[in-house]
Amino acid sequence: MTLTEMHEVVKNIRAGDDSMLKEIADQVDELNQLVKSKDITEAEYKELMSDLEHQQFIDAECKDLEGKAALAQLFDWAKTGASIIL
Amino acid sequence: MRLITSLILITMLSGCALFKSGYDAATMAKFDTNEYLLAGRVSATAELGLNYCSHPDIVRYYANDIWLTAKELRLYSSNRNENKEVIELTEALYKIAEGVGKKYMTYSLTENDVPSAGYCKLKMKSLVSNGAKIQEAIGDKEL
Repeated sequence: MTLTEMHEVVKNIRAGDDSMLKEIADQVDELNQLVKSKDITEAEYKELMSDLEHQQFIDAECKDLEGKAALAQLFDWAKTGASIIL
Repeated sequence: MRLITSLILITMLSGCALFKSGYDAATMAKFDTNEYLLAGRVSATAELGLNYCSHPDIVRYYANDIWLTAKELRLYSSNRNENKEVIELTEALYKIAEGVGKKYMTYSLTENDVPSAGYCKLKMKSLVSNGAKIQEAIGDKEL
């Protein structure tokens, strides 16, 4: 992927609705700026880029767990709360 | 009279014990508190280390501590059954922590390849937020 193509991908993500993707796109942009200004080395850039992939995984997985926890609470309440409704 | 007093006292004491165990059961955490603690420790250590990113000789101790804690967390969670999601989360956190730990360890051993302040800041920020996210997810998860 060329730098121009990468800019295009980042631009498209920013135009979308996914806040998680937008956050990642901002971080990619920040990393590009830092490597361009030589504030980080190329090896560091590669490592930080691969961290973003782990971060994206953590975000998605936490969201999933949050949903499962909310559902479990709802079902718990439904079981104990029946007497209140009836 | 003494016998009656003793009986009353025994009844009162066991009543207190019952009340105490009932209270403990009601307020007991329903998640794994060790996982919760270790994930929080990764986040807190990274937050402190973030302040010293321009001093690699200081931040290397924080980096080593983060690496060790993330490894403890990964090993601890991996040996429990029915814990698939947390195992995957701690594995991902460990991969982030391993990078910073190894980099500062290499620097400590060789005095070459000084990690840049920019690298340190981004790594620590990532560990602060990811550690906190995982801690929250563990707190929400019932055993």
